[in-house]
Amino acid sequence: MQSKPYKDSILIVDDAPNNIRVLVELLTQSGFQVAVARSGEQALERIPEATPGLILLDILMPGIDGFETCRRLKANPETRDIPIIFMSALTDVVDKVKGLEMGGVDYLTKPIVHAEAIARINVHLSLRQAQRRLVQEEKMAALGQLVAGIAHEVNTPLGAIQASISNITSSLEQTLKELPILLPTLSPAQQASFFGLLDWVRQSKVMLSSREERQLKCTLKQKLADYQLPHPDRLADTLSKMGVTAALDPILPLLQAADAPAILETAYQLSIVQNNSRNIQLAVERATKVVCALKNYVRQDMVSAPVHAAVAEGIDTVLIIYQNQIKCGIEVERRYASLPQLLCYPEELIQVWFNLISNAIQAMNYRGKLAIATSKQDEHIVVQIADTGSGISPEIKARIFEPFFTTKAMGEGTGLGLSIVNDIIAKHHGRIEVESTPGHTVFRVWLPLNFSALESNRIRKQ
Amino acid sequence: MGVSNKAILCVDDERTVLLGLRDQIAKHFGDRYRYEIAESVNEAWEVIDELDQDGVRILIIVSDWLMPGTRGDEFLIQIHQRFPSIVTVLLTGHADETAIERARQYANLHAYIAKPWSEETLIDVIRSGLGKLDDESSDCLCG
Repeated sequence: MQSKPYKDSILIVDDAPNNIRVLVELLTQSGFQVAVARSGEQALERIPEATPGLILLDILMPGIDGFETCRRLKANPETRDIPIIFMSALTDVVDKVKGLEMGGVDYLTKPIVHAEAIARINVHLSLRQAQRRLVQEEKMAALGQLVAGIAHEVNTPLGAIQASISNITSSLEQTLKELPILLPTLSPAQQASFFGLLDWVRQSKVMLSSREERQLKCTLKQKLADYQLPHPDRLADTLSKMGVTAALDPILPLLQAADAPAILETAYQLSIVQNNSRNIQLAVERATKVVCALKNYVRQDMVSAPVHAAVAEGIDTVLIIYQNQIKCGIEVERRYASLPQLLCYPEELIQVWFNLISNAIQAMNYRGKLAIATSKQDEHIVVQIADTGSGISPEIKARIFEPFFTTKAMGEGTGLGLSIVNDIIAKHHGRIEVESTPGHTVFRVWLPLNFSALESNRIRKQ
Repeated sequence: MGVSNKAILCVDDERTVLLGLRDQIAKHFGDRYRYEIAESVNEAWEVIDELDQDGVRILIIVSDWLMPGTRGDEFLIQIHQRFPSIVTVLLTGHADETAIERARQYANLHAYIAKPWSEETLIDVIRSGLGKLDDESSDCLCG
């Protein structure tokens, strides 16, 4: 992951000009970018605009004090991960403990010892960086698992495309030889029914199974015999290959022609061109879907303004990526209610669905039923993801959202998946619930529809 | 063109692949053999039973690997147990080495074709598979 430009910037929050001067000088000399806020209020105002890599926070200040500033920063999902080091002249142990309990990572006692301050700052910056790297590695590991599956997802439509191209090429070769000779021998009525037949084949989008094709051939043979046409067997054979289930009256002029079998054979070759062209189109659509799903997955790191999006689309994106692992042993039930669009960060929500669905698949050991439902309740969009897997034991249930908590073997997961899920849902002012018994686990995500009101509330409070 | 009593069966859960395969096989073998398609292993078994009842002999099965329910290698192993003379071919977009090895060992896999495939490869594989059958049946006659 690219380091953000403000990675090594430090925000000093202090009301005493002397302290500020000393710290600015010290930190600048050590190569840090430094910003200053003269009160807790000012700090809260500035941080969303330019997120610092670390905050040095004085405790005793006019207005809101350091503890309150810290509390508000920790309450906001956007700022809660910024490491905070408290500073105060107080040497009282109680204050040190209170600071650490409020979520501070460390404590510096004034007067500040330069070398110690720099050493502590460096420790916490590199810890934060290591944590970011782990989150990123978790994402890359999940992506790695998918690559093999994606190869299949893309090779399948490619295979269809390649086969269809070879079919079109040989059919065209054959028809180009026959058609110029054949067409002038047809009367205007026969020509009309020739092209009518091709139109019909192009518009009928069904592909018959072999059995249906054989049944159709029997029926056709009977009908052709009823019309007392010659070569009913050959005609029925070609017509059934073309999947002609429509009434035969419109193509009767054609069927009555002396060389009807040859004419139909040419029509059949042209129908191969039509069908295989449509096949290519379908395969391209399929491959495009896979590529789109991938793009959505990778883009999730981009920070952007919330937009209106359909929640179900994000869920479907994940199902497309996982199609391979799902289709082999998992029955997917999708019950989507008709819902308004949600103001949200769609790429991040995709990551929520991605983690929940991938956990569900693993919990079921790739066999079982995955039931996904969306609904609207109490001005929230509720997404419910249920699996028939082994379940989560009560002892573990309380801990699953903790960072680095995992039940997976070493190397299979970092234990960050659900903690990332939790952070993203908090950012949407939502909540997540889990119910689990062996054989039935449900994760329920509540996302409020009044996101913008809650968001402006939060900003006002700060 | 009488109805042949020998058939080639293709199994793939992707219709676009089946359509491509069907037309390729029809083009090269359609005048001598029946060609059958099935969208799932279940459907394939139905087709097999039905053909069996009609006295049609399946010579060769070309199967996808990653399909709902049963995977291609398992399917071909089951086929081999019931109909040891049927020639088996795997056609897939993603090769799981152990699955291919299993199919080689327990389904007497004739060939593995990777997607995307060329028409030439597919036709060569089917032709050589059919050739193998001819050899065996002549062996039988001699023996």
